[in-house]
Amino acid sequence: MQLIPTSSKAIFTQPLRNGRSLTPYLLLIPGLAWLGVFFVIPFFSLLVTSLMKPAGSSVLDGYVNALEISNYMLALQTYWPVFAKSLLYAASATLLALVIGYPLAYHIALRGGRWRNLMLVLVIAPFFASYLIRTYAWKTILADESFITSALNFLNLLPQDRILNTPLAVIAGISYNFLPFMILPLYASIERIDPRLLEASKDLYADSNETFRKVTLPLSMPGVVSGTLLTFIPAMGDFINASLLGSAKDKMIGNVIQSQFVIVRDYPRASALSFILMTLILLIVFFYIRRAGTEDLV
Amino acid sequence: MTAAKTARDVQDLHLVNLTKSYFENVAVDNLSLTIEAGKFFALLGPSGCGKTTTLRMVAGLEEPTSGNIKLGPRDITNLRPYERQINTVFQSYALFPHMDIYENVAFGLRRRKDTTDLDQRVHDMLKLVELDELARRKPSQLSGGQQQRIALARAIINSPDVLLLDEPLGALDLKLRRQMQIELKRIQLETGITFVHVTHDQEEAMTMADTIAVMNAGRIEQMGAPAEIYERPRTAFVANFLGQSNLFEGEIQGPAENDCLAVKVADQTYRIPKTATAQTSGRVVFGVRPEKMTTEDVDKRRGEYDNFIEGVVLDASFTGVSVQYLVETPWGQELTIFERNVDVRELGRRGEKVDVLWRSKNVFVLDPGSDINDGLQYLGEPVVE
Ligand SMILES: Nc1ncnc2c1ncn2[C@@H]1O[C@H](COP(=O)(O)OP(=O)(O)O)[C@@H](O)[C@H]1O
Ligand SMILES: [Mg+2]
Repeated sequence: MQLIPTSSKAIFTQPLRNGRSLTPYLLLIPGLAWLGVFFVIPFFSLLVTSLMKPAGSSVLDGYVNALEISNYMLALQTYWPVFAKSLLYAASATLLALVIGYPLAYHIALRGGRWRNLMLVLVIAPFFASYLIRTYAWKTILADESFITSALNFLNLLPQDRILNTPLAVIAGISYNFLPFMILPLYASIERIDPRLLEASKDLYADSNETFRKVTLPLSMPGVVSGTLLTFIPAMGDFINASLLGSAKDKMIGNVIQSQFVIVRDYPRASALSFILMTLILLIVFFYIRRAGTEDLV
Repeated sequence: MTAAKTARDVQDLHLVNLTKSYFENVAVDNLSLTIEAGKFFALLGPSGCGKTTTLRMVAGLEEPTSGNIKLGPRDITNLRPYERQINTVFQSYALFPHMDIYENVAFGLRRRKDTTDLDQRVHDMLKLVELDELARRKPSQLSGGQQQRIALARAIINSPDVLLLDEPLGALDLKLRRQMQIELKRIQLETGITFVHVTHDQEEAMTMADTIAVMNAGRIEQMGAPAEIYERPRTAFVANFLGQSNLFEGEIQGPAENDCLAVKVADQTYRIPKTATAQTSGRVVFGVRPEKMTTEDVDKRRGEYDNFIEGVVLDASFTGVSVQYLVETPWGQELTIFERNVDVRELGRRGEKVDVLWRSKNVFVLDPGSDINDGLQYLGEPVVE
């Protein structure tokens, strides 16, 4: 069997490594520069702003650098109900998007056949219209005299007799706007499941129901985790849906930050709120991923 | 395990006029066969002949275009896969990647809510395949051979009436394959489960199976014990696919001495046993296996054999235990001869004249109308798909 002379092998095991190239590092520069200019610098500027204090008695006097930790305390004290409400809306919208998105992704991935690509295009088609225009369209769809509202009212399904200017409208709007972010990762992970595993499951006495619960769903968990994160994170900071579809009582933390920055011009408070929101999201994501990574979800 | 199996009476599996077509392409063509309970049955045939399709229909993963599948007296043609007492060892193993080995093996029992002594049974099964210590590993942490044994354990823990194995050893290297062949045979004997083993490796089929069905283009060509179909192939396809054969086409001349028939091939006369065929006249196709022929110096030992051809050596290759000769007959046909290396002897040289000798009792006769080239295209086909 020793047909290959051992000497010829030695030639190939010797790696060709003369002079490390700088090219990979040079290629990193544009990306790092981008991150530096548009993330790191704004991040620190936000942090610095959030600790400033007023220079005089009027907002017009501007702010000076300080270490006003109390900005955070006050912001939390005043706005924690809004944080709680945002969390509730974002979580509900994410759940709604999951409930709507999963069956859709499942059918496109496993039953789509030759219509698959067309259906995927339809899923992202709303992106061809601007976010703002889509949300305005929902204002019309959910308006008090609209077909949907009338129909639901006829069936006595609406406690407040209307949808627009209620939390329901905000949640529905967020779900709708971020649905593609839910469906695409779900589709990708369901589509990747080896169909032979589903056959093996049926072969081993699992009916369609059990096959879904024991094989399909656990194997699509990566899609569920990334889909919910991609929906939840932007939903948490969203202000368009709440301002167009909700009433004054339905304002989310995004609306507060926006008005503090743009209207009230209390930059330190707006920055502190932004920082709290960022931390909150990071904590939630961290615990969510920790939990999703364990077996209990399987 | 063994006791449980003998207590329940296992049933024969019947395929009745089973057909599966994909549009105009007929994958399985009006196939009928009975697989005896408790036997090791091999379905042997080249790639694309319809083996997997047949198995999938039995498992319930594919719906037959027509025909029936019966387990004993019970028609199971329209049962869902999970309603059949039949399990499959998939070629790709199809182990659940998100479950550990233990849960993979327990999967079937849990789905059937058959969980008395579950822990004990799973561990017994893992011991049977000699992998008990890996119970808490994930499938991706196992080697190919180990995964294969888990796939087997996961199926047979359910004591199915029939176990279907679709080229289960196809992905293993040669050495491991030989080892697993012995293992599979042992487990089959120990459990008494009917094994239906699909393979395109004729050696594998012959070493393991009680019965082999040779399949070609969606049909069964011949079925029987390995030795029987090897020694008495009835079609050119079987003669050429299951081992090699030297096939001759000739005209029956009439009776000859020693209960033989005289057959004229080109301008020479050969003898075939009367018992090997129902034909007494007309065109006949007969054959001799390469190892039942021998070569000798011209005119040296013709008296000891009742058939000879004086041919020219085209090639001789020495493999140690045997020498493989390629000899050309006067009418231009190439014969293959495997000669056991009993005595140290000089190899036949290219272009040298030799006698090719054989005894008529080793001759088999094919069904009338056989095409001697049928099945030759698979000669030397790589063993792994
Ligand atoms: N799902 C399918 N669609 C169309 N043709 C198929 C399908 N499955 C198998 N075939 C065809 O049926 C024939 C038999 O295939 P198969 O049963 O897989 O053969 P084997 O297992 O013997 O290699 C092949 O010609 C194959 O192309
Ligand atoms: Mg196959």
